[in-house]
Amino acid sequence: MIRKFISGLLGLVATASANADWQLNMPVGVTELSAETHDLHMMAFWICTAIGVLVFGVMIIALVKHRKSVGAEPAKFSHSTAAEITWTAIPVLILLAMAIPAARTMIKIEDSRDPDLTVVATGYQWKWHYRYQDQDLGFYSTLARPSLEARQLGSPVDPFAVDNYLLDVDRPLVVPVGAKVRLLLTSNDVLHAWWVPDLAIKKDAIPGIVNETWFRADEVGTYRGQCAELCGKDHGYMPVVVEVVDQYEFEQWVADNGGVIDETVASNQ
Amino acid sequence: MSTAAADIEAHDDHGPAKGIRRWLFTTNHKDIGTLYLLFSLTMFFVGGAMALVIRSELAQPGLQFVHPEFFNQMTTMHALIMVFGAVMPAFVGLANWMIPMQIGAPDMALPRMNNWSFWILPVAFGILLSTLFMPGGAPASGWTMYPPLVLQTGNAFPFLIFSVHLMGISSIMGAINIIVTILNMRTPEMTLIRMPMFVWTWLITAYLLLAVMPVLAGAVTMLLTDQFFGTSFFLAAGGGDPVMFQHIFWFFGHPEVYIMILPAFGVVSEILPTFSRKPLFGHDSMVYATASIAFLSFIVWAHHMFTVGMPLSGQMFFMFATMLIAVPTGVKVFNWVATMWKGSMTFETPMLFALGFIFLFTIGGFSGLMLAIVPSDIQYHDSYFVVAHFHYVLVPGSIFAIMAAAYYWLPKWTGHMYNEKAGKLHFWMSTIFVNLTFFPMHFLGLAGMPRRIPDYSTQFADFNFIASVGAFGFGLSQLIFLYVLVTAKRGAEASDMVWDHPRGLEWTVPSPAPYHTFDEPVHIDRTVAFPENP
Amino acid sequence: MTDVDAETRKRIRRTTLILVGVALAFFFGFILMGVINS
Repeated sequence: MIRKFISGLLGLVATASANADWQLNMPVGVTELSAETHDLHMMAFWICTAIGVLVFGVMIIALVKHRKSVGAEPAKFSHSTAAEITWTAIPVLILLAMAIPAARTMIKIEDSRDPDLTVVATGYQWKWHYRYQDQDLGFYSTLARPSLEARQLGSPVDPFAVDNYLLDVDRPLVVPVGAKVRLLLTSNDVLHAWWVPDLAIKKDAIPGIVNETWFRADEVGTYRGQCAELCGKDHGYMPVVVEVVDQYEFEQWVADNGGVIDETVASNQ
Repeated sequence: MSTAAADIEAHDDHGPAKGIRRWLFTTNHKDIGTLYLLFSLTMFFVGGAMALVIRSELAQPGLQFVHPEFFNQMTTMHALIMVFGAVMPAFVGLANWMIPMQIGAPDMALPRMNNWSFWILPVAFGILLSTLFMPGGAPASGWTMYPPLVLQTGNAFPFLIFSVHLMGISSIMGAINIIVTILNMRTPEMTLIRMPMFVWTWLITAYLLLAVMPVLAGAVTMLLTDQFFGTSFFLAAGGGDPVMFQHIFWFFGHPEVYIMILPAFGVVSEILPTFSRKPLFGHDSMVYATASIAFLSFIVWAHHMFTVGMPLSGQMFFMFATMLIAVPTGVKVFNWVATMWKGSMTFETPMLFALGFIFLFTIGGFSGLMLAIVPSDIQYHDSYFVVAHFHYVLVPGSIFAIMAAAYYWLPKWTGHMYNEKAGKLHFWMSTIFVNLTFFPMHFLGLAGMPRRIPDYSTQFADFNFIASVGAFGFGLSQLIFLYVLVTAKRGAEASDMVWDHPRGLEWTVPSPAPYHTFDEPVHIDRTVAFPENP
Repeated sequence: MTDVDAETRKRIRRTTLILVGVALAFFFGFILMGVINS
């Protein structure tokens, strides 16, 4: 434990952002919208930092200079309409500057037209089920065996010895790179939520309702997330894994799993 | 007119009744205030113990101490106890003690209902805590009680609902008492605008309580009927809508968090001027800002539901409205800073907690503003970023304000100066550890760690370890506060004014405050008391 | 309420009843909303 701590600290010094153990920030992700989301987050962060530096700066000056122990005499002023108007109007303008780019991104997020691929993801206590509508393929996706063994109370297996502990499944969601994937979300029992930070997607899976969201991953890779709505005792043990592969590999995977290769997916690449 | 209450106080020239009967039957606002505060302190430690169970399990990856089911019971109960058992009763206790004195009234308008408002609480929490010992355990679906999951609660379910109803009734009666008192029993020269900020913030808070506690009661009643009486308010199979619960809950829930912070704002607005030796900057503006925050708090509830599948227009409206709340809140922070500016400050313990509040609540406010932005919220929602946000506004926010108020008014209550060195130590330890506990949670959320999980992937280990260390440090630091309270009467005797010329009618009566104060209305020299509104 | 005059007592009673009404209105109002929506 201590070893991890120290090596983590050194890792931080050496390669601050590369060491995942000390990750400080939201990922930029692998979609156009995940990058926009990251930018909005950073914009809000910097604006808050600037305001914080200003306000805390003034406070600190006051704490140092306007204290009785250095002989400061209290002033008598107690109001200023001009000040009130100024520090009401300026924040409103700052908020407008933040809201406009946010609204633009929100409109893009809503546009789920013309998908290349549709997957129905159903939340269960405590696993996901994926059904590829057009490929006639469906399967459950549950926590991978090594994680399952290490997660038990008092387990002799060290979580640090497990790759992607609690973030690995037996059968991931596989999608082709560059394809617009429409996700239809629902639940078989209680509320769940489907979240993959690298895709900047989080949507609730609600029994009796079909929610819709979409993503287009621009980079090949494996992206991991978790259920994001408390759903009972194993809420922390039903991860989401998305494998983004090239078109050929995707078609292979569909065929290997007994599905139907859909022409439209191929032609939209 | 020969009630038990009248009998007990009929001999008030000889002081209050003795023994347990005094506390059981009291209708005196000071006694009831004390009862609320002691109850709140007890619940704070109970909820705190649960937090330490949570942080023990989360200190390292893997499951070391508890089963996931019990972990979920801990997170649920920790929140219910802190929100309804620690923070809210503490503010009601402060209200009971201070409002009548601050407006020059002899007591609350409805003293017997006041007694019931308090005594319902130990019953309610006894019932809630007893569920820990039932088969199936305590409720484990989060304090937010979302269906369908909450309907999987076992034997504890009806006790949860009953307990929530009881807490609600207590709060509603308390709110009615406060509004009626403030509107009808102010000493003649105290017009509304001249009231101290603590009274103003409580008046507004009481209206919020009155409006939304019944809504919570309605929501949990509907859960009850869905579970036992065949209704389908929230069950999809019967044509109901689980999302409707979220709307109703958060219509209560959002004003609820303002209920937990507005009195804190009032406390800070009392303390800062005293220790800056300068009047509160922009008193009237502060009143309007508080009222704006309260009004806005009713129209932002769905920002807790951005991932539920809301139409775009709804997302836009709730994002804009939520961002707007930053304006009056910012106005308040600026007014506090302007109060400090060119003052002549000293840093006794109440002032330290008030200053800590301003710094750290503002940080919580910043994360709140970030959460309002919908696309980013899609990443933050149900992650540790949210946990960081609300703990910053509630712990170094509400709780620090409660501590500040306790240190500020303790000499008035006990007649003695508390141990200032211990108080300062309590402040510094609390501040260091509260930041150690909750600041890393921002990073955990941004790195992708969800909420309400008993175990996590190994890349989250280091920050979780730091947070757990911080939590234990913070918990232990509160023992210093206990020490201060237990030794409260050992210090030097306190004068009427206690501090350096504070404003407010409470400082015109002796310390400790007599059992009955302001039996006759007082005449206030307006030029002295209210130079801004003579 | 023993230490206020009759006039104030009347006002207190009136304010209290109005506020109780508000609380009940919110309680039943939201349940009604639940009924209408389901």
